[in-house]
Amino acid sequence: MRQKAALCALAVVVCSVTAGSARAAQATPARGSTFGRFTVEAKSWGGDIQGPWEFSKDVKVTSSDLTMTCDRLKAWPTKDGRDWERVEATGNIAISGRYVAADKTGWQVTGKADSASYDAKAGQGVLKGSVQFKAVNSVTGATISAVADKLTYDVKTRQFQFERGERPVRVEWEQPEQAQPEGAAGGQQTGKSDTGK
Amino acid sequence: MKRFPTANWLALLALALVVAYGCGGRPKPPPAEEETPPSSAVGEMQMGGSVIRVADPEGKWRFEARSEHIEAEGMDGPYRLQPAKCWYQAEDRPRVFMQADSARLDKAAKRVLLTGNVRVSHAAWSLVTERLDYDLAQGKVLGSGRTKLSYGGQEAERLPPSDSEVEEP
Repeated sequence: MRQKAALCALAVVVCSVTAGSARAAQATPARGSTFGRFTVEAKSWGGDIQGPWEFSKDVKVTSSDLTMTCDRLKAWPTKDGRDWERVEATGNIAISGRYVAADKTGWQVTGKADSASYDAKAGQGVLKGSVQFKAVNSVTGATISAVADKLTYDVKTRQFQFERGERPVRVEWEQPEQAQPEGAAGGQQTGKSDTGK
Repeated sequence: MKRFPTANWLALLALALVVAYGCGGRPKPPPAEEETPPSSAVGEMQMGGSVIRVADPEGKWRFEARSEHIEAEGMDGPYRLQPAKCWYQAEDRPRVFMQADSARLDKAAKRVLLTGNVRVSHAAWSLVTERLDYDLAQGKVLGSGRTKLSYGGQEAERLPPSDSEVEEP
């Protein structure tokens, strides 16, 4: 159950960053925007001046708690420029930072993927290609990691789905060593599961 | 041979000066360049004071650039503005503001090159970059340097002075 909760938190983090910002920035959302405040830095910028924009070369997306780097980032702002229709990130996606779950639990997260996208119309965030994620509970030190080919997160239902083609999705969970009463067996608790979708 | 009196020479010189310059007194120096940009209204471009406006003949977009100092490389430009405050508005889209240390506007090519502390802003976002090469007709950024986009913060909410919104082409 704990494992499931951690995975859920992980998925939320993944999709927040996928969309080019982070849910962690919910405390200070822009007016009428799906996402909170964030910055995009890159060596090159192109496209229509009112969007869509394409950032390339050493792209770095930073929100209050999370950072994502990638090779290219394309963003389609809405017509009024105040929200986003679609965001696509490609090439060497790396995510790191801190995520606070709905239960106020803090997680240090790192992740990798080949591509990431968010589509407002579909209400989905998707990570594709060698998806690897790891989250460490800031309080307990519990670690959970997942490997998949694709991760889909539904923004409305808050449901997520890991896919790994014909192979099972690999999830690992590790509980750190805890102080045990004298005479009791100590050591780490580990878990591993290869599941389907 | 009888010598021409010096007084006569001086009188002749005075007369020559009057003829050369007219009787209206000392001529005014030409006004400063930035105050008299070429007034030729060629095609869709108009210039007045320190404002240059460019508009699409079909009304798909409009561009305006202001500066305290404008230099024209020729009768029809290109024009160099230093510093520059501009806005661009495409049909049915919100106005985007730009400012930079300097700008070079080529009306023939319908291109503007902003350099030095370039800032592009909108109500919801702002962007700073080292340089911005912009195609007015296509509405596309052709080239830029290192760029930072800020979305949703106070910085993004701050816009250039609204004086450039007053006049219409």
